Amino acid sequence: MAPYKLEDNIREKLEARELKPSADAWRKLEAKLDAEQPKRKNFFWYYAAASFAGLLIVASIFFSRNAPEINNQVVDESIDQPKIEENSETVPQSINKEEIASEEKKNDKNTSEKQQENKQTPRSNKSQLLPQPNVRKKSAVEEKIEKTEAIAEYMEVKQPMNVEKPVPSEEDRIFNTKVDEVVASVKKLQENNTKVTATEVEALLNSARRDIQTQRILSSPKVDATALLQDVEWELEKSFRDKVFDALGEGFNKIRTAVSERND
Amino acid sequence: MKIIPLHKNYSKLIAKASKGDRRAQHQLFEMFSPKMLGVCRQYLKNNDLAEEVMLSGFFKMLTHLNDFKNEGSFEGWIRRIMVNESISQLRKDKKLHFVSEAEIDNTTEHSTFIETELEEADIQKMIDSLPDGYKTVFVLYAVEGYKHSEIGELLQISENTSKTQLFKARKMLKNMVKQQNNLSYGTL
Repeated sequence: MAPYKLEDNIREKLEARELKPSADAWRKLEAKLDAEQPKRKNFFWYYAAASFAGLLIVASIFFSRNAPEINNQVVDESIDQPKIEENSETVPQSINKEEIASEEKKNDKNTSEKQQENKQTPRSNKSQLLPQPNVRKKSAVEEKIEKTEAIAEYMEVKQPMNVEKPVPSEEDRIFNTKVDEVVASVKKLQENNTKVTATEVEALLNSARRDIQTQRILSSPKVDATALLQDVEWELEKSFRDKVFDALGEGFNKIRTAVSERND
Repeated sequence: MKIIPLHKNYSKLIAKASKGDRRAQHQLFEMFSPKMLGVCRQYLKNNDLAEEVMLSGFFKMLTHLNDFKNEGSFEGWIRRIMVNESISQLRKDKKLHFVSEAEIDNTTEHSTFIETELEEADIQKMIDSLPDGYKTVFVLYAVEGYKHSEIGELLQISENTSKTQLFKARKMLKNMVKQQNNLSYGTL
């Protein structure tokens, strides 16, 4: 029966004591925490946002302090000086021009007139120059017509049979003549060989085209080869080929009739 | 010696709970709530009130987990929160009346010896029967190990008042033990 110290006994017992809370104790606490924590989170986000904004400001200040220094360096070395020079150069120039112009106007009306004339002359030159292509084109067209006429006359003289056919235009006439030539030669080939190969026809077409081109170029008094070629070539190629093939495609009936008429 | 390893084991749980991890918080509650209810019950007679105070203490603890520095023991930290919560509850209910009494010279330590160890329930009964002022000072001093200066600060009383409160509490307890002994001897 060792004696116990009352206070030690009390302390030991109370320190070690555990009392089970009621079943819904945690639920109560959880509800309280649920009510509280969203607010705390919001506050946290406010703090986070505020601190981020602060950081941004600090960073912007920090970089803005550094940035001007760099800019100044760049400006001193490269950007400002050229700008100033350019300005200093250009401004006086414009002023000088104005001054000169005003002086000239004041001093001599003749000079100003001359200047005006000079100014006008380029314009007139330009105006002359601008229409020139048109004129040239026109002349080229005229030349074409002349050529076609000449060729037509020549062809008429050579082959009077084609005169019978109605001629819509002079250009067409020259083509038609050539077509007839080609067709005739094809006919001849047919008579000789009985079969006309594509290569032979092609060769005939090419030669005919060359003839037309050469005739045109040679017949014109002023030969502007590039203009002629550019204006006419593709057009001619197409139209001539088409016509030849049309003529061939329509059959040999026409050719036969033509030949028979000629024979008659 | 027990507390340090425990605290080390809890550090991860505490870290989780401080970030609002509800499971970690629940785990901490499961671990400490029975003990802490016992702490609160020392000061408060009413079981429901004790639990209420314990819950509000836990709420404060969980919402201020970031304030816990890993220096001291976690249990000690929670315990202090519970003690403070209990005392503020007593103060709220205006149960803490400390009448400044004449200095008692005979405040020297004198231990009350008992023949047989008292059981938990008996101790609680005895403590519950003490006036709130006596009881609070006695529990803080004898159970929690506070010094008179700390008790004086906590209860906003003078050190001397704390001493007299403790002296009177001990006296009452001694009488109670005597009474119990007499009763038990009588029955035997």
